[in-house]
This record gives sequence, structure tokens and C-alpha cells, in this order.
Amino acid sequence: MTHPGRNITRWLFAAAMAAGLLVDCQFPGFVAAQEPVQPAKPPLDYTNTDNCILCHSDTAKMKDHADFIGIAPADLWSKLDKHGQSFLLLKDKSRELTNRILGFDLREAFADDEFASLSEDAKLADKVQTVQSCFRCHATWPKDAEHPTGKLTEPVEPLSRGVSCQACHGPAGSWSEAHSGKWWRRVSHEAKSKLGFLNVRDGVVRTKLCASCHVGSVAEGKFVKHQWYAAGHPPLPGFEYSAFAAQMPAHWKPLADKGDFAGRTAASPVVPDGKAERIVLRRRNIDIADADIKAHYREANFPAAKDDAPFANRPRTQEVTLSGVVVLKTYAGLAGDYAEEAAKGNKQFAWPEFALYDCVACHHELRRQDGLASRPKLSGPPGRPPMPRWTRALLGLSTERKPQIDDDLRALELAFTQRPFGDPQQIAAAALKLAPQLEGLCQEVGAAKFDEDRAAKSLAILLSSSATADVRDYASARQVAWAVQGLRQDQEGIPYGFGASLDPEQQQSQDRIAAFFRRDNRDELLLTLPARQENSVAEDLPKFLRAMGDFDPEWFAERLKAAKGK
Amino acid sequence: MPQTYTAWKSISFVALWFAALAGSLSVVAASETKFVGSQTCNSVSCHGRTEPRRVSGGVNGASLQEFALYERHDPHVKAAKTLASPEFQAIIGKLSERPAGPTRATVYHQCAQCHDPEGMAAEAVPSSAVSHGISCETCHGGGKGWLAQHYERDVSRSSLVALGMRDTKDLHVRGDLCASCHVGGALKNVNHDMLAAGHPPLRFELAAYHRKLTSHDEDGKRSHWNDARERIGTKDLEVKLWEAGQIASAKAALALLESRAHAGASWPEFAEYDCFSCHQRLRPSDGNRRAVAGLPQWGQWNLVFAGPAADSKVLNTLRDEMRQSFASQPHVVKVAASNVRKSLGTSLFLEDATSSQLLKLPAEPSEASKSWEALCQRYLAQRVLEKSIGDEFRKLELAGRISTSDRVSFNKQRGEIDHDLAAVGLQLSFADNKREWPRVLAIPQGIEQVESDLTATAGKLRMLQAFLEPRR
Repeated sequence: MTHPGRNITRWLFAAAMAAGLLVDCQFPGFVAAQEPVQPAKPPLDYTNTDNCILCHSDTAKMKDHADFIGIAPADLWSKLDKHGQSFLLLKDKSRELTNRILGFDLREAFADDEFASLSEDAKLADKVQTVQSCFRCHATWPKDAEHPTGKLTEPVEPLSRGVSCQACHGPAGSWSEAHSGKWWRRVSHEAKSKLGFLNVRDGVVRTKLCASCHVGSVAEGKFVKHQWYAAGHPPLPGFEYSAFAAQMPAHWKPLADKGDFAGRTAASPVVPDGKAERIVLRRRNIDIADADIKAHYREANFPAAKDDAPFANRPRTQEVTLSGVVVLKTYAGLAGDYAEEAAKGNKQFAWPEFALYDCVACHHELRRQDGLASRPKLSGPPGRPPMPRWTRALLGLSTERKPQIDDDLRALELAFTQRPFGDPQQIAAAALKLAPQLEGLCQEVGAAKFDEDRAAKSLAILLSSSATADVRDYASARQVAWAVQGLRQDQEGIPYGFGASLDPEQQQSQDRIAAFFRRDNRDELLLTLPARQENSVAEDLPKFLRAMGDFDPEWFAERLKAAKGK
Repeated sequence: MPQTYTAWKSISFVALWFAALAGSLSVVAASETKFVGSQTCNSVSCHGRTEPRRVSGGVNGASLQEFALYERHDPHVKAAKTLASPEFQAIIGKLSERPAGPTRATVYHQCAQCHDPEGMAAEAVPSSAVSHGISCETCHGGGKGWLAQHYERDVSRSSLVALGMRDTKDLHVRGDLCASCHVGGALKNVNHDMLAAGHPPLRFELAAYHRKLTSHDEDGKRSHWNDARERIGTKDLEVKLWEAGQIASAKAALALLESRAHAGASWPEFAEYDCFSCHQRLRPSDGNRRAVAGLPQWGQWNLVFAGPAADSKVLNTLRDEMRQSFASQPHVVKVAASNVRKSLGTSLFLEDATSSQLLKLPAEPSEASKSWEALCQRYLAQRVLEKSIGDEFRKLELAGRISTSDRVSFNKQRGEIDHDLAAVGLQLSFADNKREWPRVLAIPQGIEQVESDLTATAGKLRMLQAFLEPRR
């Protein structure tokens, strides 16, 4: 099948490069003499997503990169992944629920029946603002994004595309052409990020990115308030990166599953340094300096990594560990930012905001004294809603952390319960103190080695009796269960990527691991997420809420004990 | 009325059991040296008889076996034992172990306000027969001033009151007395910390608590006083008791709210809110927005019926304050609550409190009327009506003004109402001992169902009243 559009683009690009070379040859020093100016706002520089789809929907179109990519991400995305439907969910599939959450009809905030752009009517400003905040997660519309035409009511991407390529990979106006060459593999991650490219190959970047929606971020305008939950927004279900990514279905091949692609390490086949392409970029005021072209892919993308770590790491072991830190960091940031605004008296940040606390602290049935043993164990004194316990369920895996982090975390927890709902000022201060330390820990974990030893150690940490005694609530139990499964899969050497083929022995191990947290052959904890297009979170909600309410900590402790025995 | 008692028992919130152990008076009175000790009261020639005193064959007035009855049947006698229970140890442990929390001694002192006023006074009165818990003078007042006079033939109630005896025959005085522990007050604050540590919530209704004390069940349990004379002499005494309880509870609850808001240190105080606003399983939203989605409702237990006794304007101000925003400014709440409390009168009705008046009284406010608390209060009010109409009918019967066929017909109707109310009571009660979750909240449309059931029983009560009226 031919795609004339794509060919034309390629041709134009090739022609432009040739012209650039010509200029370079004819007027040596001309470009170099001119001080390249950075594009004004590279991170806001969105391109039409069709440009991405053009190549990424077909492996044949990326045959030059077969060694590196090997799959058709846009194809997987559109056929299997739900993220692309996140806006249509609001507009069509769950419109009634959307309207109930908003308190008005979604259409009211729009200027047109096609839902193409938001209303500019000043009387509707509040509604428009509310609706816009939904699109921070339910479409591609970051807080700082500006429409190319300068209209703030127009999305940078058609909303109907939902969460599309650039929502995660960054605005591609400055790099969409550049990244199609093999030389891009050698470009330093700093240089790439200056162009707005998000280095999602870096687990830290990737996990933070997912957590910004799946946990939330006040700074990025991504926050589900309690009023919305009460009106029916499904609870954000205790995000754990490794499990979410594995079930997604992933439209990427993990480094662990990639072969020896060109430019991978010093020992791999060499790729060019992109000199010609860089000259073309300079003409658009986009500069990638010689110093930003590294010897090979590993050095460019993982400068801090030890040896062959990014390729040799047990992927899930690293991910669950990283997830444990990033989730806590994201949550603490969210709570701290919110509390800071509330302490300033910002009316948009009413205090207390129940969404900041552990759901099950309040949402449990009332039980007699003798029933207390089965009540969720939460940090802090009885009767005071604490910060969500599950956000720290996997922190124990990051053995790199210093005792100071645990102390400061305790201070944050205490700030939540010293008085009912805590003092926002104290919470903000404690979160602020914790943030740089957790950021440092992210980087350390991101660069650490996750070999077989680490996987075994991590499993031992999770299954230690003090850790298992702590898990008394559903969300924490899911964190731990997902982590145990991931670690076991790594130990068994089960291939990571989505749809990877397993040999019979691996399949057997995989089935055994999956069965471990089943009860009477039922997925008691709902570890399988409604992650496919045919699944619906809204339809699954009664099942999910029942699982939450029926969670049996005694049974779970029993399972962990059994896991330890193995 | 054994049937009534059994049905009432079915609403067996733990609260009632525990709270019933707690009743008493301000410790301030107990710690003064006006106490003579219950040893003095219970001598065999005074209130310590094992058999009732009979005057010309019948028991009339004081039976003089009050202390024996109290010791044998009254739940208050166990108040001190509560403080020795492992449950209490667990609660005090949880409350005192928190960082920067109160010490064990402070917590104990707080508990003793209700559970052990006698113990706190024991130092001053070493002769007390009951050296811990609740005893005679806890409720009747320190006896030093009136001991020598109170048995004299010509002594008046007002002169005894002047000497320091509490006039427990006055229903309002009695209501305030019971509510001082069973609802609480500044020093008797069962806050959310305590509830979370395991203390049952307080849900008081004076008439129902009386029936618990006075009902004769299989064990021949009975109260240490006999109010037959008042019941015969007063029209609809049960309704008047209920009315006094509603007002006393509202007054105590408002004073408690004031003190909580005044202290401010642990504001907002969750104990002010409807437990089931938050304490519910998460379920898919049913699409009914009752108040503000996601905000707890102010608990209405003590104000469901008390509205007419207050100035409606200041009451609405307080309700708005508590409804609009969860974390209202404590000083604003304090003033608002104080205004309502000061506006409280002594009556809920324009006329004398009777069952026909109570039948006309709507439960309010409307948006809270769908809560479990409001439904319980409506149920309890209907129990009061059923009992009061029954009592009045019995009086006519004793006066020989009821025919056999009328009696059969009345008893049949009343039996039906009792049966219906028992079913409602079961819906409102907690499902079982382990899972303390009212049945009505566990089923879809449960609230609406109970609401319509109560409307139906109200209709039947109106018919029962209509049957009684022309025969008066």
C-alpha cells in the first residue's frame, strides 16, 4: 500500500536537507557564524498527529528502524489502547456520567456541536475552565499548551484523538522530522528535551509522566476532587507503573527485549552523527551542538547508568521499585501543592479536600470493637484521616534511600493527623522538605542496577513479616501483589513486551504466578485491569468497589506467607 | 408493654447499651462535700427494703425498696464496671498513645465525668456504698442539705430543691439531667477520636430510654421508681416525656457544639456529622444528589424534631453554616449554635403536648429527612405515639368506658401497628454484631422504602387516635 502523503513529506524533507547541504557547501561558515537562537517555546510546539501516524502505523514504513522499533506503535495504539478514546468516553460513551460530575451538560462549554473548540462566552468561563481541566488528562491539552493560532479555547490537538502521541512524547513540532533518522539515537537526552522531546525511554521520566494523571498533579492542573468522585468519577485505582504498563497494551518494545540495534553501545554497528540533518535544523533555529552527539545510544540516553544496566536490568524489578518512589513523590507533590494554595487562602483550593486522604479511612463500614482487627491499618491515630497508605506501599523496595526520607515522610504523615485533616501549612512544609529527597532517590533508582540478586532481595523485602503485617487495605495489597508478580516474572525470565511469545515452560510459570492471588479461581484483587478498548472502567466499577469493600486482609496475609514459603 | 420493649430492643445499636450505662450528673456537684454517700440512703428502714412498703395492702408512692431495685435492675449500676473492662482499656490506650495526645490520666478523668462520678467523689465520701460509678446522689443531688427534710410529710418539692435536691419529677429537669451524659456537654465530649477508639456513638431519646428502664420483661426488671400515678394523672405523659427529651437533647447538643467550636483545636469535629455520610462502602453513584456531592451532612439526631422550640431564623442560619461548607469557621459556628440554644423554648407545640399534637408535627429539615438518623427519630416518635395512645385507651378502659368489641378492635389495630413498627425497627437496626451497618442502608432504595413504611404507620396511628378521641 502506498501513502502518497507520507512520500511527499519524506521527499520534502530530503529536498530540504539537500538544500541545506548545498547552502553549507556554498557558503562555508555562514550558518556556523550565525548564533543559533533557541525556538521561543519549544515545549509548546505541537504538530499534527497525522505526521506521527504516517510512519508509526506500519512496520514497513519504518523498515530502516526494524532493529530498534520492530512494531507499529500507532497501529497498536489505535486498535487496542484506550488512551485515545479518553475524550470520546466523556462525550459519548459516558456522557450521562460526565454531565453528572460536571453538574451541567458538556456541550454547554463548547462553541460548536462538533466539540471542536470551547466557548468564548465570558458568562461560561467557569464551565469552560472546569471542562478544560478534564482535558488535562482526557485529551492532549497540557496546561501551558497554546493553540498555534493563539486561541486558548482551541485544543492543540483535536479532542477526539484523546490522549495522543504528543501528550506523552512531548510537542513534536521541533523534532518530528529530526527523530526519524538513526542519528537521533546518539543525541543526548538534554538536547532532545530542549526540543520538547520527552525521553520516555528513561523509566523515571516515563513513570512520572503516567503518574501525573494516574495519581494526579496540582501543578499540571490534573486533580480529581472529592466532589467529582462523589458524583461518580471512578476512583483512581492505586496506580502501580509496572502492572499498568504491562497491561496497557504496550506499544513499545522494552530495551530488555530489543536485540543489538545499531548505535546501541560502543560494540554495536555505528550510526552517523547527523551532521547534515543538524544543519537543516539550525536553519529553523534549532541547534543540536556537536557535544550533544554522543558515542552511542546508551551514553546519550542513560549517561548515569552503570555499564549495560539499561539493557540488562530486570525490567519489572526496576519498574516496581521506581513506581514505589515516583508514586509517593507525585502524591506528596500533589498534596503539598494543594495544601500550599489552601494555606494561602486561594478560594479554588478549599480545605479540607477529601480526595487528598486515604479513601478507606472513612469509607468503611462501622464495626464493633472486636472487628477492629480487620479494619484497614492506617498510619496515625484512630479517627483522623491520614494520607493514603498505599502511596508508600512499595517505598521499602528502594534500598538506596537514606533514613532521612523515612523521617521526613513520618513528619508528613504526622502533619496530616495532628488535627483533623491536618494543618495545610504544615503539610505543605513537610511535602516541600520531602520533595528534593524523593527526586534524588528517583534518579538513584533510575541509574541503579536491577539484576537477579536485586529481584530476590526485593521479594524478600516485600514478604518480610513486618511488611506483610502492614498491608491491611485493598489499595496497598494490590500494590504489593502486582509487585510480587512482577518480581516473580523477572525471576522466571519471562519476556516483558506486550504479546511476547512464551515457551511452554515460561507459559506455565506465567500461569502459576497469575494464579497466585486468585481466590476460588476468582481475581479477588482485580489485578487484571480493564485496560483494553473493549473493557470499561465505568462498567467494571461495581465489581471494583465490591472488591475494595470485601477485601480480606487475613486472606491476603495468608497468601503472602505462602509466597514466602516458595 | 413487652412487645414494645422487644421491638425497641431490635434497634440495638451498641450505643444504647453502652450509653445507658453512662447516665449521670456533672462531676462538679459530686466533688463537692454535699454528698452523704448511698450507704446513708440504703438503710433497711429507708430506701434499702427488699420488699416494697405496702400501705393498706397496696404499693403507693415510694416503695422504699429503691436502692435494691436500682442495684438489681438498673444498668447505671454497671457504670463503674465498664471502666474495668478490656474494652475500656483498649479505648483509653488508643486515645492516650497518639503523639502529643492526652495522657492516660487526662483521658480517664474525661471518661469518669460520666462513668465514675461517684469514684471521683469517693475521697470526700469514704462511706459511699457504691464507691465507683453512678449512685443515688449522682442524679438526685448531694444529700447533705436535704437529707433530714426529704422524708417529712409536709415538705414541698420547691423547698427541697432550694436545699439542693434535684427535682427529677420535673420532666425538663430530668431531660437535662439524662442528656448531660447521654448527649454530652463541654466536659463530656464524645468526639470522633473517642468514637474511632471504640466508644459507641450516643443516640439518646428520653422516652425510649425510660421504657428500657421501666419495662417489665421476663426477668421482672423494673425501674426504681413508680410513675403510675403521674401516668394516670397526666394526659399523654409519654408524649410530654418525649417532648422534654427532644428539647433537652437539642439544648445539650447545641451546647456541645458550642464548646467544640470554641475549643477549635480539633475542628472540624466529625462527631457532629452523620456517620453514614462518610462511613459507607463506596458504590456507584445513584445519580441522586441529595445535598452537595461529596460533603458530609450535619448530624441531625438531636434536631430532627426540636426545630419548633427554636427561633427558626437562627436555626436556619446554623443549618446553613453547617451545610454549606464542611470546615466552617469555628467562631461563626459557635455564635450560631449559641443563638439557637438561647432561643430554645420549653415546648414544641402551641398547645399542651399530646399525641394529637405530635401526629401533626413534621420531621425536619427536609433534606436531612432521608437520613438514617431522621428515620430513627421518626420511628421513635411513632413508638411514643403508639404507647401514649395505648396508655390513654387503658385509662378509659379502667374507667369502664370501653366496650368489649371496642377493646378487641383497638387491640387489633394497635397490634398491627406494633407489628409494622417492629419491621421498620428491624430495617433501621444494624445487620449483625460484626458488621454494624443498618440494613436499610445496605439495600437499594432502602431509605425510600422505610420512609413510605413510616408514612403508612403514621396513617394507622392517626386512625388509632381517631378511634380513641370520641370515646374520651
